[in-house]
Amino acid sequence: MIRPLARIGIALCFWFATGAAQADGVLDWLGKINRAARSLNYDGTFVYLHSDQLEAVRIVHRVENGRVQERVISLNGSAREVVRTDQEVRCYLPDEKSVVVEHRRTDDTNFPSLLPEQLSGLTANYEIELGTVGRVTGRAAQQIIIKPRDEYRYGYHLWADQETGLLLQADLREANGDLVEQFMFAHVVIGASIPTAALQPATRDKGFTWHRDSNAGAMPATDSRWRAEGVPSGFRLLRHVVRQALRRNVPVEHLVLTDGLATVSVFIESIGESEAAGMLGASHVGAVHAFGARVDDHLVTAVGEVPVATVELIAGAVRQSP
Amino acid sequence: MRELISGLVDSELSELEERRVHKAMAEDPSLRVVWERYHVIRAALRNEMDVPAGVGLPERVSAALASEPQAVVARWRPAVRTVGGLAVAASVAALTVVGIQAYRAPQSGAVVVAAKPAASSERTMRVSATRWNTKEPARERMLNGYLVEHQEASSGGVGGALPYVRIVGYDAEQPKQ
Repeated sequence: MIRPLARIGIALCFWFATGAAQADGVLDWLGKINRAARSLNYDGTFVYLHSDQLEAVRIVHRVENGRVQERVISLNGSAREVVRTDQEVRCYLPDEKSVVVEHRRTDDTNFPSLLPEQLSGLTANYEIELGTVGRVTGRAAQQIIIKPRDEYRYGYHLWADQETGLLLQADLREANGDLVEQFMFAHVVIGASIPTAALQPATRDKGFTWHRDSNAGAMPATDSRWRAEGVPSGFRLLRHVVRQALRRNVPVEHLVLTDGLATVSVFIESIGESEAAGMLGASHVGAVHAFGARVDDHLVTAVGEVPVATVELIAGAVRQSP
Repeated sequence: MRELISGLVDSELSELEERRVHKAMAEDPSLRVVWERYHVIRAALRNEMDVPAGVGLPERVSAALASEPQAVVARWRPAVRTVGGLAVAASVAALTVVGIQAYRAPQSGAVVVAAKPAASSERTMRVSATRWNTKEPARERMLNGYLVEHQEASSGGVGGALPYVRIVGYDAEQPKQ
């Protein structure tokens, strides 16, 4: 719950700096949400609704000396668990008897890339306004409405705790207002001290296989000839790296595109004819859509929390420059 | 082919048909343009209900409409719009209290660009929507890895307000095939 809002926070700095602040109320609130996520301890249970699926999830979140530690546990089905520190992310997957570890990249802690032109992209692509005051999770809450200006991205209805700014509810909506995905705290304790034990994984990982990403991490793809050109309006290339695919020993190019809020990753890996068939076309999990296309003996997969049309267009826009 | 593309836009095709359309679109850029246009037309026609009278359709949609077989676009004309989203929202609290896990959202007719519903839904009693709706295990593994990397790399977006929830939720159940 940190980084998205951190991004908004950084965006705000530019907003103020560029004198573009029109609706101070909205900006104050986004700043408040951002600060809350970076500074508050909280322990709660939220519900997460997507497609026809409702899930309950517990989250324990502690901030100590500015460092965030977080543990997220699925409360129904198998006890999947994610433990996140500023060093790494561990996903415990009991069904697969495996633990997936990804090292955090240092530049994530100080997200540097949100430039003023991206901010103008944000307002070009979204309309942001203050909603009503209501009650969520038994607490007084302020609504913030972020509407997409076209069909290529989702909108967001946020409810922030009036006292602390903690995000209590977030709805993802299609441009026409239909609900895509919804998360809402059912119960949350804000500000209490959190023992270290509460941040330890409960999964007994005996006999589990550990998958670690290579420490070398991602390298800038300076020599790459792959380009995404003619993507839906507002999306810009944020980052282009080469890395080993998680849990598979193959190199993958990873392009990250953003419109200021929504993010789409494009993954490119070499693939043989025989493997390709099952990898093509659209699929989704919650609001995250993926689309696979074959380009020059490579598999190009676009993944992002955007409508399927957007990932399909972006995957289709990837080419090798001559 | 236009009928098929419009079926694709409506997520109505069989897996076989869908592959056929994707293949055709991959080979013929003009079909991709048709596909995109159909999304725009469909969205515009659906959204029209939300637009105050007199605003009218954007010009490019009007032009596109004029050039398309009416049978293809007729189905997107404003119809009774379900309030699926609202119903879902209203049901959350009740369901949480009751603890029902498998909840089928009302079929919203107004979903503009939903992915094709899992074709296996007839066969498996409860297809978990938390899983990638693909039947290829290799693809699923690959997408799971991509998802973790995407969530890490995306620095969120507001969508990432749920950064690891999707990962925690992604493989709730293995469909028994």
